Amino acid sequence: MSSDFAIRLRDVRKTYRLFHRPSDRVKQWVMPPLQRRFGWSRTDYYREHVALDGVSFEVRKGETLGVIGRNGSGKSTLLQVMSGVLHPTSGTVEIDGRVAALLELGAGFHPEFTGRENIFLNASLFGLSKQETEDRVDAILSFADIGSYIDQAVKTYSSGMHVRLAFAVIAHVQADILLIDEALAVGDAFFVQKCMRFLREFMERGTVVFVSHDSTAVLSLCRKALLLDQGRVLGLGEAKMVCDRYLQHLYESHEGRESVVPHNEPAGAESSDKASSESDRGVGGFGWDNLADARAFGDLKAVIEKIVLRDSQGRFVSCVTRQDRLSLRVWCKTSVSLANPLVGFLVRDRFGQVLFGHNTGRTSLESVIMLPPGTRFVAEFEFVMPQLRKGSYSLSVALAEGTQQEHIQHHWINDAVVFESMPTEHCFGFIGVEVFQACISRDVDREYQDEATSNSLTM
Amino acid sequence: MSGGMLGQESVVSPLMVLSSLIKHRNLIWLLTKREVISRYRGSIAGVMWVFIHPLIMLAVYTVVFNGVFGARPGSRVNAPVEFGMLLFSGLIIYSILAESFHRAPHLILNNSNYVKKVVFPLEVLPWMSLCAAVFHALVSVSVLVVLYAVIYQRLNWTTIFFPVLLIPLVLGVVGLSWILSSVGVFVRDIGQAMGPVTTVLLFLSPVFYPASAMPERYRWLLDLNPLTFLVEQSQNILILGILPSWWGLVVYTIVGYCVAWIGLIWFQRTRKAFADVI
Repeated sequence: MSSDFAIRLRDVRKTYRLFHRPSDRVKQWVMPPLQRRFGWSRTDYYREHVALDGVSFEVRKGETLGVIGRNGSGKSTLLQVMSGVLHPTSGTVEIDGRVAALLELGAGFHPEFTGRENIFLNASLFGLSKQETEDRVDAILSFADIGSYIDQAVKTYSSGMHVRLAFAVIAHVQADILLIDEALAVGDAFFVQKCMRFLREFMERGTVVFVSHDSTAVLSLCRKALLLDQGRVLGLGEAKMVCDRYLQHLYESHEGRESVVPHNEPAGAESSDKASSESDRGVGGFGWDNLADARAFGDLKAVIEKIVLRDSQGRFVSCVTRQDRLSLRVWCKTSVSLANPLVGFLVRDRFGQVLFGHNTGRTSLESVIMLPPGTRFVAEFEFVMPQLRKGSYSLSVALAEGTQQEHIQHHWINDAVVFESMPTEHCFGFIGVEVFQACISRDVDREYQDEATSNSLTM
Repeated sequence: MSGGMLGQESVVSPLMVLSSLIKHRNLIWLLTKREVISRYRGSIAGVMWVFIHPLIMLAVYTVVFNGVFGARPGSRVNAPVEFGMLLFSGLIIYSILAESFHRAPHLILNNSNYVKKVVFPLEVLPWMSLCAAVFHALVSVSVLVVLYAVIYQRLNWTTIFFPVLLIPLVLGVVGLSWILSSVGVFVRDIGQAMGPVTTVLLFLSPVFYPASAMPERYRWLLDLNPLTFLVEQSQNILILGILPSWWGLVVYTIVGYCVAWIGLIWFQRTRKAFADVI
């Protein structure tokens, strides 16, 4: 009998016993029975580490599930449990179909064997006979595309070659279920494209579980996602929703507080916040209102109290999908007398490269502004956020005193607001631009001429 | 990799030893081949070492135990060359056990890829090291037989029973290897203990001296050693041309099979925890 489900986990728990000394492990074997037998008080010689804590979910046949979570959230453990490499401490794992797993780098290769021998060895683990492997070996070789290295020992391979070969093998073992663990990160662009093509094709008929800490990768492949944190399921459902929840969660824990919505939000903003939480985008409000932050510096004579970045509909910005008009408000307070306050921001990509920025300097330089001690003031920016390449970006904000050329930094906050860019269209460079025309038309005369010149060149 | 494997109920069928061998024969063959080849890779003589090694050993035993120590009292043979061969025929048996026991505690640890990254039938690993050891033993036997034929211009027809002698040995050794390789994962001291243990087994077996040379009071030590019987049988059939003790072989085979069965049950029960520890 075959069920609807390819994978079904019920209340799966995985704990590890960590021993301080090797001898503690032996004590743990010997002592508890003795303690029970003689009624001694019970001591455990280990610390327990919970990797998975009551995980339950189902994956239907033909479905693609993205598993997302931070490093150490239990993603890889979950995949290992599904692949059968690890056995759950309690709970049940049901798998219906032939599983092929690509765990971390390079699967179960024997370092001393050549690539070709490993193909046969690995294929035999997937239940392929020698003849069946023989028939596929050419396809595997051309997929892996590692040339003459195939007859070298695998221990001489680069990590990229390792993954190429591993992926090539699991792509050809006729699995029903594929489990893939961030493995694609090491391949070069061409190979990743090849894998993506294969994966999309595979998804037509098979079940895929894809693990990543990169929400964009999950979004581009999966319709359904599972959010894991400290071994527990925090969210399961539509990929977009779960990924947004993941981003929110990421920043919450990053900032070390429960709510990302500033508590002293003006009344007007609260309703729009509600609206945004009800929208299908989920809650995605990212502001900053913590003074004692390690990423901040400056003499703090004047401080930034709160930063809010909103889109044109008044929602907090967590994810930019298209070019949009954004508003940035920076609430400040000065404890000294402030001459010519200067508020500015920078947008940087994840490598710290500054993409653009602006400050209030230019527009308010004409007249000298003097703010007495204790004044609160607001700086407002409205700007068009360009369409940025897929990835995460941050906005840093600073409060200074003086002119463009010469100023004192009072308060500078690095990465005050972090947001993702998920462009709906492909971005070739750093930014996407508005394109008004992109088409091909036939130019008969030119075509003839070009052909003639190219002919003359080749002759 | 079917659904059943994940549930992996602990099967305790007495046939599991044989079925694991038959089911994974291709894998065992592949691994053994690699194991043997990789040992000689990079050396100039290459696979020739398979033959060079027993030849040198045979020469050393002949010279040392005759030239240096002189003929042993109570020895069952008199000719010096034959005495070296007698030693060697016993050592072949011992070396199968020693080679496997030295490898066993490290087998799982050294193949952590197979534990953590794929669902691998780990129980084939002891088969692999044992098969490699048996291969070397068979090469040694053929070197011995050829030399014997060259020197004495005759063959001991009883030599054909050598494979029968291997059956109880292989079963017992693979069973103990399963236990050693499993325990070795958790208690790494096992690996260190193997050297002394195998040395004791060697000197408490009639390899370098005939059992009759052992004082009566300590004879029980020899009798306790399962190698004693097999070493004597090996000397009988390879050099002395005496038929093996069939009843003894039947008993040893039954006991060996039980050891293998218990070893495999132990291994399969404990393997779930390997990935947690490595």
